[in-house]
Amino acid sequence: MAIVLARVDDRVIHGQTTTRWVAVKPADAILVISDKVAADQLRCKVLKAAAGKLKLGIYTLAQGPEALAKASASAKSFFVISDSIRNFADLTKIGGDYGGVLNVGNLNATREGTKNMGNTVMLNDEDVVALDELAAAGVDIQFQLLPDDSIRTWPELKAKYQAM
Amino acid sequence: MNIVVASHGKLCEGLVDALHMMVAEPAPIVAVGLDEHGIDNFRERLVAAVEASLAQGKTLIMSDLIGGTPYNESYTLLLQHPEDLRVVAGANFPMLVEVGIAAADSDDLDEVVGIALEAGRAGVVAAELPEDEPLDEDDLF
Repeated sequence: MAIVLARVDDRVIHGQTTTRWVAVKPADAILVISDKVAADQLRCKVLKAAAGKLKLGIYTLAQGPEALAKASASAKSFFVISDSIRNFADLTKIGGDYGGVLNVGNLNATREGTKNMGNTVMLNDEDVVALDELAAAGVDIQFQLLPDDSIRTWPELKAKYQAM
Repeated sequence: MNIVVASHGKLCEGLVDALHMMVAEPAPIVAVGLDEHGIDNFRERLVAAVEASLAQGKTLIMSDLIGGTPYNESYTLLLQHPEDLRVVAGANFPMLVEVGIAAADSDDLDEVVGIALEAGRAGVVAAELPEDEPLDEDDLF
């Protein structure tokens, strides 16, 4: 089974993840890959509690590819979550393999120069660069907050972004 | 099936509003709150909502408090429509999320009531302080 969901979510682990996504994609554990999260001990504790019954591993970006390789080789099922698109673009660049499909959910924390793409996705020019890098690397980018939301693609959202 | 959330004040509206953050396409759902316009006004709105709901299919009323007016008025309706209506009390958010999903695909009232009771009870917990244990990678992978 290995990695069943790779997701960008700036709230990292919360109700939509543990209640909704786990119901449609059963998982044993969550891997969080983010330098920002890994450096924040209080947040790590909160995320551990938020993960509930799921096991949780929190890794820096540099540790990411090795953790992903272990997850891919495991008989267990994993969610891989990071809090920015840039993190997944960098992870892809340094050889992290999370299965070639990237779900983008919540991105609505306050950031500079964002445009509201709807359904809790706010993108800025830096995100666009990172998304283009991911698309060029052959990653299938799927914007989908909840499992019963329809999927929006990057070309679709890029056209919308450029028109705004 | 359809859901009617009946409560004191705006609790029902708040629950339905929150549901849409967790479930994109829940079962058809309406909120009816008891407010300063009093019990007769509430009863009229509840009866209208439930009758409209029953015209579309089976209906579950989620009320906020056992023995409260929203529950009591719902119970009156249950006695009139025992085949197509069920009533639960103690509605909370974990209950509504699970019911919102289950009711979208089911017309089995007893099954959905069972889901409501289980989710409502399981969702009530006290936060526990974490144990200070280092990450065990053998356990993780």
